[in-house]
Amino acid sequence: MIKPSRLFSKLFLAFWLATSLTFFVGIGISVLDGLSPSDPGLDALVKAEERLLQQFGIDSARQLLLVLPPPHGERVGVYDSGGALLAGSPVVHPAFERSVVSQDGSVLSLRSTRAPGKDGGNQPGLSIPLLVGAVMSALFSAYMAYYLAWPLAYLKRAMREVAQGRFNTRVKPMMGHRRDEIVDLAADCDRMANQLKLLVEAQQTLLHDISHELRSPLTRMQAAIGLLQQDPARQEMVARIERESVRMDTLIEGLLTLARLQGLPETIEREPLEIIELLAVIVENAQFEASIKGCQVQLQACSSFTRRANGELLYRCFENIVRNAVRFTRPGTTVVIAAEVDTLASCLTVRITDQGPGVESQRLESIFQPFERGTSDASTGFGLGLAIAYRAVELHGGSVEAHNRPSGGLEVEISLPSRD
Amino acid sequence: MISVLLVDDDQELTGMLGQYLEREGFQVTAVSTGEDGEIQALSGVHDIVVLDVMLPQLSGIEVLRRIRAVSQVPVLLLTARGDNIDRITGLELGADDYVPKPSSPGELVARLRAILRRVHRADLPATEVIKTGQLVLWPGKRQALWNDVRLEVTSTEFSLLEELARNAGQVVSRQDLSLNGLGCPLTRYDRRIDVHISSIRQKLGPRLDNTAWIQSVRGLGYLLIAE
Repeated sequence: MIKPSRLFSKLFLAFWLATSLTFFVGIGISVLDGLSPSDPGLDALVKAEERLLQQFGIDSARQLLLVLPPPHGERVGVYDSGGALLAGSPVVHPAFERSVVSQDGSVLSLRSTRAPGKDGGNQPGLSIPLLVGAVMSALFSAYMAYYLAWPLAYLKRAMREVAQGRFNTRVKPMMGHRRDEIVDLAADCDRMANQLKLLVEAQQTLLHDISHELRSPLTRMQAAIGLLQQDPARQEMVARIERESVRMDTLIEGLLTLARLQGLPETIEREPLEIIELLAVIVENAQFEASIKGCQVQLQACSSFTRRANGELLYRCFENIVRNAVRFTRPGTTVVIAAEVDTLASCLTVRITDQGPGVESQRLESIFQPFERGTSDASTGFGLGLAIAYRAVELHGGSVEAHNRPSGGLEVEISLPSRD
Repeated sequence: MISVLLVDDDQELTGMLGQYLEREGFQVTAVSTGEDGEIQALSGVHDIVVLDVMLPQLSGIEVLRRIRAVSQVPVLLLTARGDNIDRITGLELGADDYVPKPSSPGELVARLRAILRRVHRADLPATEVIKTGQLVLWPGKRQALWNDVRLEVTSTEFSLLEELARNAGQVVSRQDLSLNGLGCPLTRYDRRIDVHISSIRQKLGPRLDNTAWIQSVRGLGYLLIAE
């Protein structure tokens, strides 16, 4: 299924070399040991017999064999020239035979079932362990190398799939019941693929939304131009076209701001900023817009709150939320902006409440996504304001939440710590 | 007066389009949700429906599916420029034509008129009959019989079928089909004819030898087998 990789060959060779070397060294030592007579009993006995026969004669030799019988399974016998057994046990198939001139001058024959000094029986015993050892170490090495290399082969294939844009690739299920760092790595790869998938999907949705949002003012412009061509007297259409072009401009600027906000917090310039003062300026500006609807904007702020912040971003953030509140609050009502400093947690909480229709509870979080609208009215707003506000506060280490008030209307709560 | 139903969630746009169409001599009703669009389209009051594909909640494609389940009222889709999937799906579901957004209202009116011309053939006597094989067409009444059973086709499909039936047994070029069937010249990469023809083929079913009644002649066009 997966062809042997370089890694597999390397690991296999390394393991095999290591185990084989260990094995051969072990064998070598035992072979060196075996160079001394492997069966000192028999060797010594045959030598002693020979010497006894030469110096003291057959009687001493017989006694020695009685006192010191040959090792188990071996036989040593002394025969005369006629082939009659004089001492020891009979040796039917002698592997060793030597003529010895005994002390009394007769020529005797010393026979043994095994030649002393030549350990022939041990020879096959050495080559079989060698063979078995080599095969076993090869098997073991192959298994170890395979065990380490195959998950990496799967990982490699999975990463290639991900690189080609197939983010649904999952490699962890292929790892079986392993529990080790390689499986952790596989799990991380899967997480990465999933994250990439989400990012790409979000990107595509955003692109789709942007094209739709840009298309809407363009279509309205086309309609206005059509009406103007139909009847050149309808000069109000020129104002309409202008309004649509301003909308597109606002949208593009919002998009650029949002793109800038996607960067890292370090890339944002900061300077000491009095937030309550900033709120006061925004309230003053919003007051004018609200008065057209017969509404009021009220600031309820106490002490001051100063922190290092990017003034432009925070201004946009509060402005977007306040303008949103002014837009949706019912005519003749009041939008309240309450700023409270929690000295204990050294954190500023700003609550912006309107008396409008509120938001369906399942959308309270998604209204901070780009192009999510508070109402189905396609002509108002671009659904970027709250996304920008959210990201701006996030970059300053704070958080934004929206709740529906029991008495009706939406409350947006911004928490801003005194430092990031 | 011809009644047009506009279904689009952009109320500013429908307001302006409504004014434009009224000045062009149409009577306009505008609704902003798919649900209202479906109810209005099936009311039988409107001669033609202009349906935006990108509707919140109930999508335009779904509305079209529901309309086509019970009615053959002409439907013109407003699709996003560059979104081919919506376009092909819409035509397959029986939309008569589509206009990409953004387009000028003049373009919209031209397409509306093209469809309506096909539907309201006042110039044709209601008694004119085209017969070829098992197919009987009454162009004036926009009615068709296939094997003595009433054939449910959209107005665009009817026009294409009529064009093929008038020339039964001969190859009709895609250009001619586009001009006489859709009312506009063929443009490059235009798949509308092929989608409509494929829909008609399904409605006619296969012949005994399992081939289609409408044969495509590569590089030339289409031909309706006359027998």
